[in-house]
Amino acid sequence: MGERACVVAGAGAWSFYLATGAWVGQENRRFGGAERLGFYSGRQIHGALPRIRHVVGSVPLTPEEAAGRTLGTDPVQRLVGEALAAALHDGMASPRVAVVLLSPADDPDTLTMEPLAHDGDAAWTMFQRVVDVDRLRAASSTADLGAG
Amino acid sequence: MGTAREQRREELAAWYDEHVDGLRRVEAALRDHLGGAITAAGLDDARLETRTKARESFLAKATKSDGRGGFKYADPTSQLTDFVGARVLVPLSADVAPVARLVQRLYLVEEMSDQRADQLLDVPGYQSLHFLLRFRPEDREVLGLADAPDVPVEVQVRSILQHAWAALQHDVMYKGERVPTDRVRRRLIALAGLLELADHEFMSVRVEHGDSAGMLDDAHAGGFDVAGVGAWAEEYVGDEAGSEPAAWAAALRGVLGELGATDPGEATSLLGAWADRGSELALTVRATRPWATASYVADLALREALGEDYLTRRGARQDGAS
Repeated sequence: MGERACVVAGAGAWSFYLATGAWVGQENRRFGGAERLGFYSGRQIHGALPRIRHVVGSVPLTPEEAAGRTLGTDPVQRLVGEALAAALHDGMASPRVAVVLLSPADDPDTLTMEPLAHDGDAAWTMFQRVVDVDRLRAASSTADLGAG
Repeated sequence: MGTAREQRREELAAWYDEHVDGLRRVEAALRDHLGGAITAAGLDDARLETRTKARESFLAKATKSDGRGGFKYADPTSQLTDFVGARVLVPLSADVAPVARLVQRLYLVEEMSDQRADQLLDVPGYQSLHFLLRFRPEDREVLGLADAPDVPVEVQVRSILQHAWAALQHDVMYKGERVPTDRVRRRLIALAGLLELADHEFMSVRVEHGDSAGMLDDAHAGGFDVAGVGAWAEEYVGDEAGSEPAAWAAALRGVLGELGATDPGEATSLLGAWADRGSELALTVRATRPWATASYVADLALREALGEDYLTRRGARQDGAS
């Protein structure tokens, strides 16, 4: 069985990923066992499928947590702290969040594809959908992905 | 094994009896020296306890099996490091840092392990700062230890609540005959989280009460306080005075303490060739990381200036660190 990507919906998630190499959102979020994340917003699935490298299921979204982790000595926790700092800067206000560290957009580990446009009446997803990576990369629009 | 253990026990008991007076002298010197320094630094709320390892405790540890028919310690008289120990209890976790900085300045620190960092950061549990240290040669002379055993000394620094949890969970986990169930372990972890929250709440109460000097402030112990570090970072990158968030300044203060900088001059000298490049670095970093605080930029500069030494001096493991 090939790899699967969990395509998450959210207006700011794509730009946040490009800026930080991370996804920050609802604590204890599950991604259906997918190895990669994709991003859906603006009626398209964006053209990068980064690998999920590290997940922190629940962490306080506070300046203390961001600063403490970012200025620590553990390189992974440092990235988590940077993601928290960026989320706070963007105005995210949940008491606790999940942080997912992803392969950066320019990393060879990140698969790229042509963005997939969505022409349906309703949003392709309001939350998230798990799709085979091969199907995503072979599709020319979301219509080729079927019901998922 | 039984006979071998008895023989070893007899030999080690004789060794202990011969050296225990010297070990007690080391303990007494530590109590006077560290206790005096704590008092002199005005860390009045810190409570010092010392002890020399008891005979039975030493013999039990020194004759421990390795599980393969041998002994865990080939030469326990040189391998054990806890003949003399001290524990410094402070009111809150934020008070650990001032004592730690004092210890680092007074002694030759051979090892420092932050037990908080050695476990899953997401799971509440045991928290304590452990040092393995020795007296400085010049202090050994002054303290009359020239002919006493040159043994390392273990020092733990932890808050009252951290200590309460550690002591109570130790009784449950290790002193009973029954193996704790998963449910018992889970409840202990929950209690650790409860006490951690209580610690944070006490700190908030302190601040609301106006006792900001009590929080992470050891200027009186020779360090520079959170506000001072914030001002130093702001000046370094050219930010407006008073703009640096306290949380970031506090974190940077911890970094500088680990690197051995106790005043702005020492902090600046750590930056070496990067000392005059703060504004330029901030501009570059903030182009892609607009959230970058002055403390973050200063930390980046310290990493660049010190290279590998940055992590070494902070006591971090090098494997996989970057």
